[in-house]
Amino acid sequence: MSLWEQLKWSLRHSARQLLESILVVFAIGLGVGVLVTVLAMFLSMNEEFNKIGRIDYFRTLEIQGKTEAARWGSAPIALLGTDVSDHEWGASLSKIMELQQQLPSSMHVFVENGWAAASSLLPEEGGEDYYFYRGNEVFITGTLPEYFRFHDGVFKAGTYFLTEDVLSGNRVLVLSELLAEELFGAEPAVGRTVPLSVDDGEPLKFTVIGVVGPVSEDDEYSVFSGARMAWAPLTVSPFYRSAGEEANFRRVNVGVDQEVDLAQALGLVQSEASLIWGEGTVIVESNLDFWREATKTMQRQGLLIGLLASVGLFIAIINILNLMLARLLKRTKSIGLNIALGSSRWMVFRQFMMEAVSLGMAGALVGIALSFAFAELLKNSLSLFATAKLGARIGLGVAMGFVVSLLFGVYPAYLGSLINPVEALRNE
Amino acid sequence: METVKFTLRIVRKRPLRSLLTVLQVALGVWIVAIILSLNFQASGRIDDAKRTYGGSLAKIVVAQYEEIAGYRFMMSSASNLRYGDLARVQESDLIENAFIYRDLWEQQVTVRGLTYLVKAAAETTSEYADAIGLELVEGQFFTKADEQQRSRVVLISEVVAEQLFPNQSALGQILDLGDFGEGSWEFEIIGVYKLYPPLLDLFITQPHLIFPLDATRTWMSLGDSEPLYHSLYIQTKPDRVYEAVADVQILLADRATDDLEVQGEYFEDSTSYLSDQVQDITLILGAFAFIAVLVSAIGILSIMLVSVVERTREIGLRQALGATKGVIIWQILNESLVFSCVGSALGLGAALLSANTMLTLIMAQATYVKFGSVGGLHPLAAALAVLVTILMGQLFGLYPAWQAAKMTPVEALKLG
Repeated sequence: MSLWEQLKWSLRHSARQLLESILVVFAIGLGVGVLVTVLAMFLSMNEEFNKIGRIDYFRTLEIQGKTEAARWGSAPIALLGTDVSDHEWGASLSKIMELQQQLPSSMHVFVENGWAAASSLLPEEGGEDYYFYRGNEVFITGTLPEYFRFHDGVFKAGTYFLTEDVLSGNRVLVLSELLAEELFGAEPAVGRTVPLSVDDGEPLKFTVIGVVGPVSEDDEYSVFSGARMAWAPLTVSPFYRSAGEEANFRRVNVGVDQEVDLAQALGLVQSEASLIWGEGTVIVESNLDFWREATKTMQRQGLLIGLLASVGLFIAIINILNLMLARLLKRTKSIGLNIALGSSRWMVFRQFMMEAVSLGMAGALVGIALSFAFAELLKNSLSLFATAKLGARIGLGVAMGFVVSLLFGVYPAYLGSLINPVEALRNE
Repeated sequence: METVKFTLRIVRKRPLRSLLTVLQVALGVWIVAIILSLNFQASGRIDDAKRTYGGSLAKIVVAQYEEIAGYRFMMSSASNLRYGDLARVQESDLIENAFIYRDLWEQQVTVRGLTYLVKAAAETTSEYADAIGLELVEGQFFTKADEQQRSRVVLISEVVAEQLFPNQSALGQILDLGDFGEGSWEFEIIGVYKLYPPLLDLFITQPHLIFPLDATRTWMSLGDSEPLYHSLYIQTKPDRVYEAVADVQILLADRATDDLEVQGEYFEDSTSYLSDQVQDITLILGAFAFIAVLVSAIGILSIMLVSVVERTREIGLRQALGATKGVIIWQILNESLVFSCVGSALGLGAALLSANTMLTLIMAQATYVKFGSVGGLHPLAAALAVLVTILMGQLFGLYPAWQAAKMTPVEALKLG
């Protein structure tokens, strides 16, 4: 008997007990549907996490003092050591540049020091981001040229400032694309001057040397996509001007290009940094650790929810196993007859397996269909994103259906193949 | 008696089938019992905390308002409370206790030459311990006199004590806060306290060092002017917290101006997010549980159908011997009832054993809030789980029972 014929035969069998078969398929469907929904949700979250893991923020290592690291750690009390002066760790501009020289060009040392400054070119009312700027303010990030070499951006006009600009404190400005548009419309921005004043002080004139935007429009994580954002050499920051040569930065960032292994970079920065700032007083910490921790937490949650969600499927398996055993009992006589007439035991085994697999697959189809309904419900009631790809869902559902049919099919099929024809025919 | 025998015969004849049926019922009961317990216990913990603190604890702040585009927004809260306000609010009959609480966020301390960073420290007044019910492991809280003299004493949490002075008493030990140009600042440890009971830290940050008010402020930071404080907590007569805050608003009316307003913040508000979260978890997991019970009831239905077909002959014979339709229906339903009951007992047993672990695990993974022990199997949850399962089992057993009853004896005997 060919596989195809066996399939037809098993379908006919299932059709004979239609109600029973429908119930079984529905039970598997419910079980598979819940599990596929949950797994699909976590797959899509995982994908999102991986996407986030590739953005610049997570490719940035941080150098900070022990106190600062303890402050952001989770322990209520942290040991700082024996030799802790009241003065906290800080990096001066010259030390930061020294570190850059020790590192390869695929690693970018920079600091960020932001401030808001008002410009008379902008309308009094209009700023919408309360935390960074208000009214006619612009949020300016004081930084180093390496910032632009690390973050991917497209210069629409001009270019970024150089180390010389930083060292001599030139008042030059790189505008975000949106800000350039707001300030100058369609006219070229490069070469124009922008008056900027901090805390109602005397406006200082900044010369625009570049306009930068994100690589693609839909890049939501780009640092260059902000509306009122501008960048200037670190040394023109009001903080730097008041602190003078002794200005110290509590956090130094090291951006690592995509092609460099982060763990290796971490080791290299750790050793170079301790040569400059002294052994044990500096901690290099990767933002990626937070991301890894978050990913792990998510996976643990997924595992737990998945386990609870699979209870239904497990019950369905028991349920079907039970039913298959009952069917086997009913057909003992006809199987005995088959074997007596020369059918091989392997054939009997295959017959029962075929029946189980066809039920399992039908259940999987119902489950996949149900999972779309469940995802819709989840989205509406809890605003969770459950948007895994269609292919992933079908794959998961079919795989689950197959595993389930193996789980409930093998034992009854094995029992069936053991039937002794003589006894089966003699017993009523 | 006859019906019990009828069911027992099935169990003896088909032991594996009976076992599997019981097992799937047990699983269904287990998951429903666990998830309902989760809801009841977690909500219970939140309600407990609300009962203990919610009706009698409020934080008084001076909110700063700002007008933007014609609307008044609360922007921040200003430090505009003074030490004398503590005595002034006590004039209200509703207020039993009040304390000023100053968050220091962090404090560096040196013990035997080693410096540590303690991440949560606070300064407060002597009423604090009674008002929040602080439990001491050893020593005692500081007195009103300590508070007024800004004595150099400190209390530490048991977590900090464990790390700084393992296996020894912390009492009498010295914490050195450093040198601020007035010589070394040495604080004597006079007490070690337990961490807050669960959920209180949603309302008042959990400190790990507690100093008398302003004891760690240098003369420089204090200056000559009267120190200002950000928040003051009141403990009121039970369930009178809203009226008490209204009293405070009148008593401290001079602290409010055009854009400053004396306001109360309540424990209820700080737990509403958590309550919502518990509801969400219950909803998702409850859906799983419902589906599990549904599948298990479907299982009973299909297996009873098989069972009825197998016993067509027996049922026909009974009918021929005079059994009414009612008796036949009762017998089949009784069979599913026995399976449901045995399964329920098994499931409840499993739930009883595993509830504590499961609940703690789920709450820890899902909320990030320290609940302490969430508790185990909730009696109401157990009762509901059994009730739902048995009702579902009986409801789904009706169809096969009706199938059995509608057979005519002649047909049944012929078919069998």
